[in-house]
Amino acid sequence: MEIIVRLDRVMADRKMQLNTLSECTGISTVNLSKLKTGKVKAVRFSTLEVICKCLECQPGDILEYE
Amino acid sequence: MTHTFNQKRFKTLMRIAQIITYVGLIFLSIAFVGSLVVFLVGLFIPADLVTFTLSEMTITNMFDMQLGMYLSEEVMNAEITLKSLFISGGLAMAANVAFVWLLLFMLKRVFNEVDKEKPFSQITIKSLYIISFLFIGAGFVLPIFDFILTSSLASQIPAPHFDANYGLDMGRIFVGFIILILVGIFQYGAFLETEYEETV
Repeated sequence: MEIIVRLDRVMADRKMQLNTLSECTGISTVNLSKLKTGKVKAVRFSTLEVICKCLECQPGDILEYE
Repeated sequence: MTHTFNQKRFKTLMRIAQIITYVGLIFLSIAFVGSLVVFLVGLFIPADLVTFTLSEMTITNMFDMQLGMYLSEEVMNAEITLKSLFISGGLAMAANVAFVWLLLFMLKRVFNEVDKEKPFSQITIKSLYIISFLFIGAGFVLPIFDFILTSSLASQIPAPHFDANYGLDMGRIFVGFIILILVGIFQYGAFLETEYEETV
Protein backbone atom coordinates (compact mmCIF):
# COMPACT_ATOMS: atom_id res chain seq x y z
CA MET A 1 0.00 0.00 0.00
CA GLU A 2 1.42 3.35 -1.02
CA ILE A 3 0.65 6.86 -2.22
CA ILE A 4 0.61 7.06 -6.04
CA VAL A 5 1.07 10.38 -7.83
CA ARG A 6 -1.41 10.69 -10.70
CA LEU A 7 -0.07 13.96 -12.04
CA ASP A 8 0.61 12.50 -15.49
CA ARG A 9 -3.01 11.37 -15.79
CA VAL A 10 -4.43 14.76 -14.75
CA MET A 11 -2.03 16.55 -17.10
CA ALA A 12 -3.05 14.26 -19.96
CA ASP A 13 -6.74 14.95 -19.23
CA ARG A 14 -6.05 18.72 -19.36
CA LYS A 15 -3.72 18.25 -22.36
CA MET A 16 -1.08 20.21 -20.51
CA GLN A 17 2.65 19.90 -21.19
CA LEU A 18 5.27 19.81 -18.43
CA ASN A 19 6.77 23.12 -19.59
CA THR A 20 3.39 24.83 -19.50
CA LEU A 21 2.71 23.53 -15.99
CA SER A 22 6.17 24.63 -14.95
CA GLU A 23 5.54 28.17 -16.25
CA CYS A 24 2.14 28.26 -14.58
CA THR A 25 3.26 26.96 -11.18
CA GLY A 26 6.78 28.35 -11.03
CA ILE A 27 8.07 24.88 -10.14
CA SER A 28 11.05 23.70 -12.15
CA THR A 29 10.51 21.01 -14.80
CA VAL A 30 13.07 18.87 -12.98
CA ASN A 31 10.99 18.88 -9.78
CA LEU A 32 7.75 18.36 -11.70
CA SER A 33 9.31 15.46 -13.52
CA LYS A 34 10.43 13.96 -10.19
CA LEU A 35 6.91 14.38 -8.86
CA LYS A 36 5.39 12.84 -11.99
CA THR A 37 7.60 9.78 -11.80
CA GLY A 38 7.07 9.41 -8.04
CA LYS A 39 10.74 10.01 -7.18
CA VAL A 40 9.94 12.27 -4.23
CA LYS A 41 9.45 11.55 -0.56
CA ALA A 42 7.20 14.49 0.29
CA VAL A 43 5.10 17.23 -1.31
CA ARG A 44 4.59 20.65 0.29
CA PHE A 45 1.05 21.98 0.68
CA SER A 46 2.17 25.10 -1.22
CA THR A 47 3.33 22.93 -4.17
CA LEU A 48 0.09 20.98 -4.17
CA GLU A 49 -1.87 24.23 -3.99
CA VAL A 50 -0.29 25.80 -7.11
CA ILE A 51 -0.56 22.57 -9.09
CA CYS A 52 -4.25 22.23 -8.18
CA LYS A 53 -4.78 25.89 -9.12
CA CYS A 54 -3.14 25.50 -12.55
CA LEU A 55 -4.77 22.14 -13.35
CA GLU A 56 -8.10 23.17 -11.80
CA CYS A 57 -8.35 19.96 -9.82
CA GLN A 58 -8.47 18.65 -6.24
CA PRO A 59 -5.45 17.22 -4.34
CA GLY A 60 -7.25 13.87 -4.39
CA ASP A 61 -7.08 13.87 -8.19
CA ILE A 62 -3.30 14.04 -8.05
CA LEU A 63 -2.61 11.77 -5.09
CA GLU A 64 -4.09 8.32 -4.70
CA TYR A 65 -3.74 5.75 -1.92
CA GLU A 66 -3.43 2.28 -3.31
CA MET B 1 12.74 35.70 15.35
CA THR B 2 14.26 35.48 11.89
CA HIS B 3 17.66 33.88 11.32
CA THR B 4 19.77 35.54 8.68
CA PHE B 5 22.78 34.01 6.99
CA ASN B 6 25.48 36.20 5.50
CA GLN B 7 26.48 34.00 2.57
CA LYS B 8 29.07 36.45 1.22
CA ARG B 9 30.90 36.58 4.56
CA PHE B 10 30.72 32.80 4.91
CA LYS B 11 32.15 32.29 1.41
CA THR B 12 35.02 34.69 2.17
CA LEU B 13 35.69 32.86 5.43
CA MET B 14 35.75 29.50 3.65
CA ARG B 15 38.10 30.87 0.98
CA ILE B 16 40.49 32.15 3.67
CA ALA B 17 40.31 28.78 5.44
CA GLN B 18 41.10 27.00 2.17
CA ILE B 19 44.14 29.24 1.56
CA ILE B 20 45.39 28.75 5.14
CA THR B 21 45.06 24.96 4.90
CA TYR B 22 46.73 24.92 1.48
CA VAL B 23 49.70 27.03 2.65
CA GLY B 24 49.83 25.04 5.90
CA LEU B 25 50.01 21.77 3.99
CA ILE B 26 52.94 23.05 1.90
CA PHE B 27 54.87 24.21 5.00
CA LEU B 28 54.08 21.00 6.89
CA SER B 29 55.21 18.87 3.94
CA ILE B 30 58.55 20.69 4.02
CA ALA B 31 58.72 20.30 7.82
CA PHE B 32 57.95 16.58 7.54
CA VAL B 33 60.71 16.02 4.97
CA GLY B 34 63.05 18.11 7.17
CA SER B 35 62.30 16.05 10.26
CA LEU B 36 62.83 12.82 8.33
CA VAL B 37 66.17 14.16 7.10
CA VAL B 38 67.11 14.99 10.71
CA PHE B 39 66.13 11.45 11.73
CA LEU B 40 68.13 9.86 8.89
CA VAL B 41 71.16 12.05 9.59
CA GLY B 42 70.90 10.95 13.22
CA LEU B 43 70.96 7.32 12.14
CA PHE B 44 74.12 7.65 10.11
CA ILE B 45 76.30 10.05 12.12
CA PRO B 46 78.75 8.55 14.65
CA ALA B 47 77.62 8.58 18.26
CA ASP B 48 80.56 10.69 19.42
CA LEU B 49 80.48 13.20 16.55
CA VAL B 50 79.11 16.13 18.50
CA THR B 51 78.28 16.32 22.16
CA PHE B 52 77.09 19.39 24.00
CA THR B 53 75.93 20.42 27.43
CA LEU B 54 73.03 22.65 28.39
CA SER B 55 75.47 25.17 29.84
CA GLU B 56 77.15 25.51 26.43
CA MET B 57 73.93 26.62 24.82
CA THR B 58 74.26 30.31 24.07
CA ILE B 59 70.62 31.07 23.46
CA THR B 60 69.94 34.04 25.69
CA ASN B 61 66.20 33.84 25.97
CA MET B 62 63.94 33.63 28.95
CA PHE B 63 63.77 29.82 28.81
CA ASP B 64 67.54 29.51 28.83
CA MET B 65 67.82 31.86 31.80
CA GLN B 66 65.22 29.85 33.68
CA LEU B 67 67.11 26.63 32.90
CA GLY B 68 70.25 28.09 34.39
CA MET B 69 68.40 29.18 37.48
CA TYR B 70 66.49 26.01 38.28
CA LEU B 71 68.64 23.14 36.97
CA SER B 72 71.56 21.91 38.99
CA GLU B 73 75.15 22.15 37.78
CA GLU B 74 75.19 18.39 37.29
CA VAL B 75 72.33 18.62 34.81
CA MET B 76 73.71 21.68 33.07
CA ASN B 77 77.05 19.96 32.49
CA ALA B 78 75.67 16.54 31.43
CA GLU B 79 76.82 15.59 27.95
CA ILE B 80 74.08 15.09 25.37
CA THR B 81 74.97 13.46 22.06
CA LEU B 82 73.69 14.96 18.85
CA LYS B 83 72.96 11.49 17.41
CA SER B 84 70.39 10.55 20.05
CA LEU B 85 68.83 14.00 19.90
CA PHE B 86 68.53 13.83 16.10
CA ILE B 87 67.04 10.32 16.10
CA SER B 88 64.49 10.79 18.86
CA GLY B 89 63.83 14.47 18.07
CA GLY B 90 63.45 13.83 14.34
CA LEU B 91 61.09 10.95 15.00
CA ALA B 92 58.97 12.94 17.48
CA MET B 93 58.86 15.95 15.14
CA ALA B 94 57.93 13.78 12.13
CA ALA B 95 55.09 12.15 14.08
CA ASN B 96 53.72 15.48 15.31
CA VAL B 97 53.99 17.08 11.86
CA ALA B 98 52.33 14.06 10.22
CA PHE B 99 49.42 14.37 12.65
CA VAL B 100 48.86 18.09 11.86
CA TRP B 101 49.37 17.43 8.11
CA LEU B 102 46.65 14.76 8.10
CA LEU B 103 44.42 17.03 10.13
CA LEU B 104 44.83 19.91 7.65
CA PHE B 105 44.38 17.55 4.69
CA MET B 106 41.04 16.35 6.06
CA LEU B 107 39.99 19.93 6.84
CA LYS B 108 40.87 20.91 3.26
CA ARG B 109 38.51 18.18 2.01
CA VAL B 110 35.76 19.52 4.26
CA PHE B 111 36.31 23.12 3.08
CA ASN B 112 36.25 21.98 -0.57
CA GLU B 113 32.90 20.28 -0.01
CA VAL B 114 31.50 23.40 1.66
CA ASP B 115 32.78 25.43 -1.30
CA LYS B 116 30.84 23.09 -3.63
CA GLU B 117 27.75 23.92 -1.51
CA LYS B 118 27.57 20.35 -0.17
CA PRO B 119 28.33 20.88 3.54
CA PHE B 120 26.62 17.66 4.63
CA SER B 121 28.05 15.35 1.98
CA GLN B 122 29.40 11.87 2.70
CA ILE B 123 32.95 13.15 2.06
CA THR B 124 32.52 15.74 4.86
CA ILE B 125 31.19 13.12 7.26
CA LYS B 126 33.97 10.67 6.37
CA SER B 127 36.63 13.38 6.77
CA LEU B 128 35.27 14.42 10.16
CA TYR B 129 35.19 10.76 11.20
CA ILE B 130 38.87 10.44 10.24
CA ILE B 131 39.68 13.69 12.12
CA SER B 132 38.03 12.37 15.29
CA PHE B 133 39.92 9.07 15.11
CA LEU B 134 43.12 10.97 14.30
CA PHE B 135 42.76 12.93 17.54
CA ILE B 136 41.95 9.81 19.56
CA GLY B 137 44.83 7.89 17.94
CA ALA B 138 47.22 10.81 18.43
CA GLY B 139 46.28 10.92 22.11
CA PHE B 140 47.66 7.38 22.42
CA VAL B 141 50.49 7.38 19.86
CA LEU B 142 52.14 10.83 20.03
CA PRO B 143 53.04 10.55 23.74
CA ILE B 144 55.07 7.45 22.78
CA PHE B 145 57.33 9.61 20.58
CA ASP B 146 57.54 12.29 23.27
CA PHE B 147 58.43 9.51 25.71
CA ILE B 148 61.20 8.26 23.39
CA LEU B 149 62.61 11.80 23.14
CA THR B 150 62.51 12.52 26.87
CA SER B 151 63.80 9.07 27.83
CA SER B 152 66.67 9.54 25.38
CA LEU B 153 67.53 12.83 27.08
CA ALA B 154 66.89 11.42 30.56
CA SER B 155 69.32 8.57 29.96
CA GLN B 156 72.06 11.14 29.33
CA ILE B 157 71.27 13.55 32.13
CA PRO B 158 72.29 12.21 35.57
CA ALA B 159 69.51 13.81 37.56
CA PRO B 160 67.10 11.67 39.61
CA HIS B 161 64.19 14.09 39.13
CA PHE B 162 64.60 14.19 35.34
CA ASP B 163 62.80 11.06 34.19
CA ALA B 164 60.61 10.08 31.25
CA ASN B 165 57.07 8.90 31.77
CA TYR B 166 54.48 7.76 29.26
CA GLY B 167 51.07 9.33 29.75
CA LEU B 168 48.05 9.49 27.51
CA ASP B 169 47.23 12.88 26.00
CA MET B 170 43.77 13.14 27.48
CA GLY B 171 43.17 16.54 25.86
CA ARG B 172 43.50 15.12 22.33
CA ILE B 173 41.40 12.06 23.19
CA PHE B 174 38.68 14.31 24.62
CA VAL B 175 38.70 16.52 21.49
CA GLY B 176 38.45 13.35 19.37
CA PHE B 177 35.33 12.23 21.24
CA ILE B 178 33.78 15.71 20.93
CA ILE B 179 34.34 15.62 17.15
CA LEU B 180 32.88 12.10 17.07
CA ILE B 181 29.69 13.49 18.65
CA LEU B 182 29.69 16.34 16.09
CA VAL B 183 29.95 13.73 13.30
CA GLY B 184 26.72 12.23 14.61
CA ILE B 185 25.08 15.67 14.35
CA PHE B 186 26.48 16.05 10.80
CA GLN B 187 25.03 12.66 9.87
CA TYR B 188 21.64 13.84 11.10
CA GLY B 189 22.15 17.03 9.05
CA ALA B 190 22.92 14.90 5.97
CA PHE B 191 19.73 12.92 6.55
CA LEU B 192 17.68 16.13 6.85
CA GLU B 193 19.32 17.52 3.70
CA THR B 194 18.35 14.37 1.76
CA GLU B 195 14.78 14.68 3.08
CA TYR B 196 14.73 18.33 1.99
CA GLU B 197 16.08 17.50 -1.47
CA GLU B 198 13.45 14.81 -1.94
CA THR B 199 10.65 17.20 -1.07
CA VAL B 200 9.04 19.30 -3.80
